Amino acid sequence: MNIILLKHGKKYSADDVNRQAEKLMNYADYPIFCFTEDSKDVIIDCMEIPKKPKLMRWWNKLHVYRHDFVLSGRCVMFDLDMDIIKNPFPYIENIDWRYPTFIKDYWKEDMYWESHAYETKLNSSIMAWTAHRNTEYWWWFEQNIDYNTRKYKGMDRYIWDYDFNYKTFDNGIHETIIL
Amino acid sequence: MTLTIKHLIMGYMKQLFFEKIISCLSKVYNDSQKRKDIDLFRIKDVLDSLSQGQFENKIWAVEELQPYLKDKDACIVIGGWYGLISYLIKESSFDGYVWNYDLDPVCKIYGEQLKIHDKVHFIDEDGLTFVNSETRNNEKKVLICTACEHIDQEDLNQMLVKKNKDMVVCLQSNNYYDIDSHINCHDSLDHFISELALREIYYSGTKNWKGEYDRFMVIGR
Repeated sequence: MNIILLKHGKKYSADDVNRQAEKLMNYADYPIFCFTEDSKDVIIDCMEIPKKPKLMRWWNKLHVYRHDFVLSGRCVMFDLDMDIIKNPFPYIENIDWRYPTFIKDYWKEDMYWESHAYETKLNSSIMAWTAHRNTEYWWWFEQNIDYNTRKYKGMDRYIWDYDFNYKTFDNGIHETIIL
Repeated sequence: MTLTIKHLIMGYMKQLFFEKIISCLSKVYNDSQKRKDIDLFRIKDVLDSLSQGQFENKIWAVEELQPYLKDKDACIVIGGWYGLISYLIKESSFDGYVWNYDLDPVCKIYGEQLKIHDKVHFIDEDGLTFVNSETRNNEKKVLICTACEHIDQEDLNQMLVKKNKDMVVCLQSNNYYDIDSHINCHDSLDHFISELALREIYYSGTKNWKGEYDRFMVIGR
């Protein structure tokens, strides 16, 4: 499995990446990569975010669903704005790797929104997938990038609204992190 | 004719255009019931394209472009959205064609619906490719893009390098970094100018919008 940390723009620094990587190394010895446009001062291996089409901030997560994504096999991405307090990997290693898997915001379960609110109960703070499968996530996005990034406040809402095939982690994963 | 926001507030917007907007929004709602590619956010998107800020930015461009439109036969608008600027260009008595390019094919559908002038056309293609057309890439045309913040700088400059060297261009960008679809903002007017592959600048200016962000405009060639 590959662990990936996304850093884009100036909100998070190389220190944030290095700190999150060190925490994760306490629980697993999988290779860790930073997916970024600016690798300065990042101490783990880096992969460059594709220059085109240019996306902003967390929308760059969608690049990992491209058919030409540089890594192969099982991957998991962790956000930088999340504190990892216990080992999350027991909840990740045994998922059904045929489907992208996300955290479920279980506290939103009883909330109600009309479909055109484009809200979501899906949370990609931890996102696991098999590279080069489920490329429809990227394909549909690419059809109208500007409109999609205006319509949806973040990638999670886009995935939810498009009703792609996905799974969610066991809710126990919430005990390993602070969102 | 000089277009000003005052004109607009005092009822400059034609009754016919107002009626077109209402019928367009109604059509979006009706279409959304039968077409998978039309959703209800489209209503908000059309309204956003006609906001006060959009009117101000486009009127600013049309006002400053007046001296350069006189002997031209067409305006090429890149990222024309639903065609607000083409409406304002035609209202300013420009008699030539306006070609609105937008990558989003749905913009063509509702742009046509909103249109009230002849010689306005919507094209659902990448506007940057107009440079490959000899009939469009010449000094009789004016190029307008008020949405440079949505366009990759490298792609924008490739187009500017390939365009006819005497073609006048009007470009706007801004420093509104918080919007996810704004992939190419600039810190200042100087920053914007410094990144543009232009040989000559005829006009440049900055307008602040409600203390939230600055919009920059450059006319040159």
